Amino acid sequence: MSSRKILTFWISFGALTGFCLLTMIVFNFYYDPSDSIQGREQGEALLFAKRLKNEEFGVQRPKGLSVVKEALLDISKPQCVVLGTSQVYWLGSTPFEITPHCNEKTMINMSLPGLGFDELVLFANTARINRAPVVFLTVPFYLYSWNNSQRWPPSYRSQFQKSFVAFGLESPMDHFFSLIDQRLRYLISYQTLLSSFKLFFLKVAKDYPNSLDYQPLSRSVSIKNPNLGALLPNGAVIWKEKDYLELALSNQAEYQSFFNEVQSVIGDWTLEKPIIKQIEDREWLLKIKLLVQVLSENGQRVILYIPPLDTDFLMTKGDKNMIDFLQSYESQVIRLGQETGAEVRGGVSLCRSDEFYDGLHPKIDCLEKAIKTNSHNPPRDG
Amino acid sequence: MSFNSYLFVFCILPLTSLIFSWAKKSSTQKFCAVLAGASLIIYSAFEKSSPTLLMSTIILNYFFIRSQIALIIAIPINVFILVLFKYIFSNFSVFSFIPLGLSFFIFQQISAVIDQSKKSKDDKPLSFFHYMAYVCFYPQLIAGPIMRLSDFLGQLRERSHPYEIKTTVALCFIIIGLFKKVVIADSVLNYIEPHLTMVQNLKDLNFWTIWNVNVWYVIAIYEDFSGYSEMAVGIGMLIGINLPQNFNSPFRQTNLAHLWRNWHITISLFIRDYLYLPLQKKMNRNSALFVSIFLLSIWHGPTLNFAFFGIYQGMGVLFLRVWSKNKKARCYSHLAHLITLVFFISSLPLFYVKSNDLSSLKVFIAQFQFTNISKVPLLEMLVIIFFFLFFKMAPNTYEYLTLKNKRIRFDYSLFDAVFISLLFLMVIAFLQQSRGYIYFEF
Repeated sequence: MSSRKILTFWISFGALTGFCLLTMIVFNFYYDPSDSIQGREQGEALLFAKRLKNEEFGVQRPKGLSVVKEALLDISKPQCVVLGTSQVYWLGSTPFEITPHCNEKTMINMSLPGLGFDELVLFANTARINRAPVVFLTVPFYLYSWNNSQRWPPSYRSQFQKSFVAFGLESPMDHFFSLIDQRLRYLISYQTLLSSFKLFFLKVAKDYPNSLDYQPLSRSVSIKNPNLGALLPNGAVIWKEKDYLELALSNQAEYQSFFNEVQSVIGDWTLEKPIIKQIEDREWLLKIKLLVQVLSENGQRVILYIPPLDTDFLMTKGDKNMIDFLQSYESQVIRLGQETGAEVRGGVSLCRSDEFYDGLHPKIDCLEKAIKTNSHNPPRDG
Repeated sequence: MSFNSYLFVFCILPLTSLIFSWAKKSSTQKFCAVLAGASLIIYSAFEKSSPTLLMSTIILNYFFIRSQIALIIAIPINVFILVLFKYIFSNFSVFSFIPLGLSFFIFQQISAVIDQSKKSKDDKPLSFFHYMAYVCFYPQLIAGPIMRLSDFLGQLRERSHPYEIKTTVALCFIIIGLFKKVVIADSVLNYIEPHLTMVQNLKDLNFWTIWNVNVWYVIAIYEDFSGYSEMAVGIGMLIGINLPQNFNSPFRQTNLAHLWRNWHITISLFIRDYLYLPLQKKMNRNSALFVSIFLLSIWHGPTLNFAFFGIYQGMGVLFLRVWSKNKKARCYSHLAHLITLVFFISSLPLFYVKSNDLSSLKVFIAQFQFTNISKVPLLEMLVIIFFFLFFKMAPNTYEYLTLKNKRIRFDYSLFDAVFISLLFLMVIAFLQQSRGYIYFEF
């Protein structure tokens, strides 16, 4: 084969690949469907987020933050602050109190889907500055697993850094370096390209919502079969995955009707699925301990919370060592409570399978039971 | 890190290729030292790797080769290491994972120990770095293709070839291999996963669901593993070592024995040379064949389903052997092709329903019960038929890139440049959602 022919081959290959790649990057940069590049904190990008199917970039999470921010504006002097995951979303719209005077009117619920450790530190620092008398700190078992790779736009960088310094933790600089990599991946992603095209066609069709139309949902929206799923106040959908799958496969018509009902309420929102991974960072507990110590020294009462889990379901979805792992996790959190003097509530195996929407998310009865379970440490006065 | 990651494709691969092309100019000994060192570093960067175990087995087997210890000691020790880590430690939670590539580096070393034992004492002794480079050679370390030591050493001696042509073909092998894995196999797996989970949990066991899962699963596993193998061949070519072909259009074959001969070719050859042929001297051919297929099946994992899989495949191959002796019992090639595919695909529940009870058998039997038969998934059927027609009629990667196909061949034309460029663009766009390789589990 002549070297000229080989050279022509590579020039053609390089020119076409370069041109297409550049076009894709520019197109994705311009539309930036999940607001990962241009760093606008909220606004119209959030509106479009709900129209995207892009699990990678967690469309529910920016919206979750908007709920948190609004709550901060509404209640400047809360009695208590809830830090946690989607497992404690319902707190604040529930009829029971966590502690005396800690109810829906006096509480800020800063829970966020797939809460990562960085975010926990950020919100804990907000609670520290706010000096809320009670900090209800959920310790999710998956901290330091894959969820931790979810990133915020770079505009939050200084807030993260300040928060880490406040708790004497190492700065999360490495995470921000990887953010560059993350953004580059985002620009060359097939998922992003699909989302960008969707925005492009929406603009062409002028089906482009006005940013003033945005109203966060204030309460759950009922769905025909409450055991199949529920729409949470911040827009996230949870469901009982095993039932959903059975329905999807066995009764196409009923599934379609259910799905249409969900779609009519939430558009094309990403639907959550429980994903189970083990903790990879064994130092995680020491870091949580620092949070508890700093908050306690700040005069705040810390309640550690172990969210209940559907262990039967997790056994079928997770590793065979899942139960051993969960027991070890629970005992470590209890020991943390003993070492720091923090009260510990909840527990892994408190509820039956039918008291969950899926493997991770408890229904209200289960949540109440867990909140009121306090067998590990006696509560302090107040 | 994995082969299907941005880090590997855009950093590690170009960097190591540059290092190796520089090292190729030096002596073979230095080249092997660089190759072994770099391969070991790359292996360590993979998840679930165990460089300590790898190095221990290399030192142990090198000692066996140099001291010419009897095979009756060397082979059982290797098999013992494999069984210990793969079947015993994993069951008793001593290790939370099976070390990556364990089977392949043990198989490769067994073949080296046996081949070296046949050499006369006058032959030049094998250098440690040559041996280490052979075992550690990273493109094939984790999941093959299994290469013979003599082949590797022979290629080391002849490292001069028209490099620029090899580079182009090598890169095309890598791009096509990545495309098969990242775009086809992963998309199919993402699509089939909920249905597969249902079937694995013995839910919704009806005719169409199980066959749908079976067919998509076989497409996924073929694209996954052949994609990996082609990528390994491409990387090997970039370094100057040609790895053996591992897949040769298995779904084009008209009988089960040929299908197996063209599926994971290097392990089939390994089993033939080091198990089937020695067994044949001690028992009749059919028994030797059955035992070989059975052992190859249970190599996949410590669960009962793989034993069932081996029995079913073994019986299929034996039946074929008896059938083909009867000259009257001939079959039209299209029908033979269809029967071969149906038989092979029907065995898959015994492969993917991993259990130590009879779950895999339940799914296997359920696929022959015509429940809910009226709900024909037409669109899926059409896509599946397209895939299998493609497998039957289109040239495979080797035929395309090594000019063996007369009609469709890689001749550096503008069409080839556009085709490879489109595949590469899709690889880039899909790479970040890519999953782990299925065969890394074995």
